[in-house]
Parts: sequence; structure tokens; C-alpha cells
Amino acid sequence: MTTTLVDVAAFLPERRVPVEEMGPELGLTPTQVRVLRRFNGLGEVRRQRHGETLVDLLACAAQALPSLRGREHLVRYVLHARGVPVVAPYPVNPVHELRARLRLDRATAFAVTHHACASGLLAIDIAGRLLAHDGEPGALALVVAGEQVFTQDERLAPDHRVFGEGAGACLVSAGGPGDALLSYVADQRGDLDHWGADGVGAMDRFAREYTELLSEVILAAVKLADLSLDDIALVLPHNVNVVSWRRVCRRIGLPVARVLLDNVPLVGHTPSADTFINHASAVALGRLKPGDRYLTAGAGLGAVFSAMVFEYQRSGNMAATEVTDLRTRVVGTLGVLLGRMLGRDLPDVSEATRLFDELGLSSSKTLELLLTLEEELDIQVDVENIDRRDLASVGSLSDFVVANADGV
Amino acid sequence: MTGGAATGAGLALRRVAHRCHDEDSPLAAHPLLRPYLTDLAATHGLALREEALGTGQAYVELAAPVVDAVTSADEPVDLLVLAYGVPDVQPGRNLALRIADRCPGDPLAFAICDQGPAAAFTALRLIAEYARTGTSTRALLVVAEQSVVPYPLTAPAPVPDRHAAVALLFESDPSPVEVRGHPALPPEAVGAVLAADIAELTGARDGVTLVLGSGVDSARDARDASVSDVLRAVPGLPYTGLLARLADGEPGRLLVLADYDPTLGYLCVAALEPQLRPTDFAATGSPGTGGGVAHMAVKD
Repeated sequence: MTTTLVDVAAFLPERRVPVEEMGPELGLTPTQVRVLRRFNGLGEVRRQRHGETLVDLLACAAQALPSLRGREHLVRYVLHARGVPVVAPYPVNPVHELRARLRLDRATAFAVTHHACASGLLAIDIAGRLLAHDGEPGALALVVAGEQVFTQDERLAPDHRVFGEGAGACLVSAGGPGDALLSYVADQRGDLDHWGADGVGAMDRFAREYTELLSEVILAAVKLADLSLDDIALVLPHNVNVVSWRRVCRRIGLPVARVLLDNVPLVGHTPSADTFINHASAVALGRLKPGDRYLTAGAGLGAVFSAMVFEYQRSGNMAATEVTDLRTRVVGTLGVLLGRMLGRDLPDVSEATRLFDELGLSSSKTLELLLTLEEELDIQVDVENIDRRDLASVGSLSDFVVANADGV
Repeated sequence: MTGGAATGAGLALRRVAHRCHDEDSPLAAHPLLRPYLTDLAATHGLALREEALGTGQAYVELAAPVVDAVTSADEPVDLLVLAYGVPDVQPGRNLALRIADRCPGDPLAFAICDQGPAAAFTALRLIAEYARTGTSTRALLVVAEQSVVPYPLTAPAPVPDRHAAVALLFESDPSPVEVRGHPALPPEAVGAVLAADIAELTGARDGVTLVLGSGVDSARDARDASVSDVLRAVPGLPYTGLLARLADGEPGRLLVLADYDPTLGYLCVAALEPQLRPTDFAATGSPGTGGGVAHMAVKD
């Protein structure tokens, strides 16, 4: 029986913390912080306010699921997918507190962990299996992901990634309507154990092998779904940083524009919740249409590399998210700037508008447009890999800007 | 695991190994643990128990001998599910992956927690489900517990009086395995629900051994159970004490396991056939004896 995602939602706390403010807390020099922003494409993260709890964070995501309301009695399982195995002092039990808050008392609740920041994918798979075993029509599982950043572990390479607070939630069914799970592959590397005797060595090897291992698991998941990379309309990444995704894309021949990197500078890396947050953004941005196959992938220390392929089927009743819509801003601003540059109103500019053929821009004029866009939106775009195809239309240029924005 | 039954998963219990250990792990003295645990405790306004720092056991090291005892190089394992309640002495470690790394077959591994003693039943349920769909043909259930919680408990909760780990090796088999769970069950309802479950699971069958966890009160909860052969969990081990007794299962006798967690409200019941397979490994000691020396029981 096919596991499906009936509904997906995300929640981001309102408080924004720029990476520059996090530098001292993370023990980073000003130069390292500049590298975070310029090279790794990280800009800010979200954090809860003082006094807010992990259960608050998770409940906000679950309550943003339109399909949950009125169906609480059908929820048989509540799974907390955890990147960090222990997030509260025993016996404090966030997943059971969440169950009570949501009035899901008939559900069996537990945490799924030890797959680091890819635990969300594992939890979806497990939820589908349990429901399939039960065979109860209409039964649902609620999977939630998200954690508080309660400590700073200096081994987690804060000069490459910053952890933010955010949460995701999804309702899973066995055979019900929704995004169909086509494949799931998890590759474990228990030898890359940063808590082991050779933690430093494991971290180094993790960094060296990361691109290859994540690439392989992505290709394996695509193959298991009996697809090719060309069939994948969109990749929902884990938001570790932009540059690592560029490397993966180069290695496997995937256009960077097909990876939804919009949230990297805006949200940072949220343990296990990136998939859900990026799913909500992809729907809000119109990046998925029914029938599209999309892949989500993540990795984490310990170590594990995972990828999952889905077929998008949702009808569009997604919960609103607070994710800033960078791409919409880029498209809109480009329309204004083109009018300014060409000295006339361009009411019909759309994503399909061709910069060379329709508007008569030259390559140098297009680059000038890009620089003006940077100033207008206060972003910096890495143009190292730009080519003529990226400049073809407003849409392709917007994709390039979003994928290569080093900060917002 | 929920109100419904999970029937016919098809599993045979092949081997069981249990180990108690009273000594602490050198890993408890990892220099990064103090700041990590301090921050963890502070999330709920707690301070560390200074006297507890540097003590406790690591599940990777605790589980290694029992995993070794039930596995062999020519029997690759494809699934490993770890269940625990009390956190590992290194709470940030994705240790199921590390345990899997030393296990023949490079199994898919993950952990189930935050469900009290019911986590082991959920793990068993998942192993049965992976077997049912053909995803797994040989699986390990590992449960570990250690006796040190380095901050004050904010509520009553089971804490073992010594460190222990148990490993159970399962193989796909026509024998049905059934796992039932009843969430949010008040203590006064346990007796009736348990008796009904046992009656349904055993039917008219002779040769049933009932294994009761420490959360089940024999007098109150099991008085209506029509089973005369009853084993009690190893005392002092709320997470592994029940499964440790499965080493005492006899061929031809159905094992019915039951445990109740009054804190979280789960009653869990499972029925399975022991089909223990001899190993070449030496069996020493008896389960749950501890005493400062690692003891192990491998049912041959």
C-alpha cells in the first residue's frame, strides 16, 4: 500500500537572528561570518522567544495542517522525528505533551531518531508502514519535526552551517490521497561517528565524503523510483548551505535551479524539519504541479545520507507559511527594473518574458540588470557559474538568482 | 502500535542475549558532556547532579557483547531497531548507527524512544512489519538502559538500578507475531483489557507462557489471565527485564508478553513463538544477575 502525504505544513518563529549576531555565540571570527554569508549562502535563522517551548514549536506546525482539523479522531500515531536524539531532560516527553495539546489521546506517540537531520524521512516511512499494517481505512499518522537549538556543539562545524528553529508537520496515510511515496533510500555510515573515539577524524571524513555520499543516495532513490534525474521536477534540500548543494548538483548533473535553495539564507538548517519547510515553500511558490516528481534529501553526522522521491498530487490546500517568498520578490523586482532600464512600462512582463528575443537586451545589459537587482533587494548573487541559458528569460534568471543568492 | 491487532507478521525468535553491567563507561567522562548536559538540563530549569557526572554507561559499548552474541558473520542482519527510555550517557550520539556498524549485514538502523517501556513493543511491531513486506528477513531488536540520570527527575519515571542491554534476533517465518497496544489506558482498566487480549491471543491453545513486565501488577492486573505458567521480568530493569526472560522461552510454548506503563498509560501485549536456534557462542551466567561483572545468557 502506497504511503502518502495527505498534508504538509511548516512553522517558523517570528524572531530573526542574522548570522552576524550569532558569530560570538558560535565562536566565529568576523571573517568566518562573512564566509557563512558570502560563500555558504546563509543569512539568518529563526529563533523562538524566551519562554517558548519545543511543544509550542511543534504544535504551531501541526495546527497549521488544514487536514488535521476535524480528523483528530483518525490519528493513530504521533511521531516526533528527531535530529538530536535527546532534546529534553528525561523523563520530560515532548511528543506526549504534544499529543495531549492536540487532543490526540487515542494515538500512540513516540520519537524516531538516530538518523540525524534525515530522521524526518525515516519517520514518514515508518508511519506509512504502521498504517499499512493496521489496514484501517482513513487512519492517519502525524509526523512532526523541529527542535530547539538548546546547545552549541562546536564540532558541528558552525563555519559551514547554522541551526535555526522551525518546525514541520505532515499527515501520513496508507493509500489515501496525497503525495505518493515512490522510493526511500538511506545510506548509513556508522563509522563517521563524531561522538566516537576519533571524533575529529570522523568529522573530517564526513566533510570529505559528503558530496559523493549524498550524490549517490540521491541517484539511488531516483533509480529505485524507476525514474531518471530529468524526471525530477524539484529537489527539496536540507538547508545546510548553498555551496554544498552546488557541488552535489555539479557531480550528478542536476541544474542548481531545480533545487529549492530559497530558504537557506532565510531559515538556515532546522534539524529534520527542512523537508517540510521547503515543501510548504515549494507549494506556496507554485514550484510543484500535480504529477510532478520531487525528491527530498538530507544528511547528518553520525552519519546518514537519505533521499526520498514523491509524486506531487496535492490539490493545493496547503497551510500558509511564513517563509519569505524570495523568488516572487525577484520576479516582481525584475519587472520594475526592466521597465526602468528600457524607459517604458512593461505591464506584460512575466516569467516567460525572454530577455534577449523579446526585450532586446544584450548579455552585458542583463548582467547590469542583475547588479541593480542585487542593490534593490540587498542581496548578493554569486555569478561564477552563470551562463547564457540562465539569462534567457525572467523566469530562468529568477531561478538563478534564488539558487545563487548569498544572503538576504 | 495502536488499538488494532497486527496479525501474521511472520517472525521467529531465534536468539536472545541479555547483559547486566554495574561499571561505568569511560565515555561518561567525555569532556563535551558537561556543557551539553548543562544546556539540556537548563531547558527545564534544572541543574546537573554533580555527583552523577562521569558515571553511567554507553549503549554502544553495553550492547556490543549482546549483539555479538546473537549474530554471526554468515547470518547478515538487514534491520536493527534500538529502543530505550533512559537516555544514553552520550545523549547526542546517533548510536544505533554505530551499533549497526559492527553488526553483520550493515543493517538499516534507527531508534525508537520517548515511549517508556512501550518503545520496545513498537520496535517489535516495526520489525514484524518490515518482515511482512519482505523488506527484512533477519532483524535485531536491541533495548538498552543505564541507571544514571545526571539531573533531578521532574516526574516519576522508571530508572533501572543497574545498566543492561538485551538483543533479540528475529527471522522471517510463517509463525505469526502479534503486537497490541492500548494507549491512554487507566490502571483500573488494565486487568480486563489484558485478560481479554490474552484470551484472544491464546484461544484454546495449551502451552502458553506469560511474561509480565514490571508495570503489570500480578494480583491486580493478571488475576483474570487463564495462564498458569507465568514469568516475571528481571527486577530493577524496567526496560530490558521483560525481554531478558524470553531467553527462558521453551520450544512449542507460545510466549505472551505484557507490560503496562502507568505514567504514559500504555498497555502492550505481544505473542510470539520462540524457535531458538543454537549458536556456537558460549552461554554464561544468567540474565539480570549483574554484580559488577558482565553476565550473559544466550539461549541454546
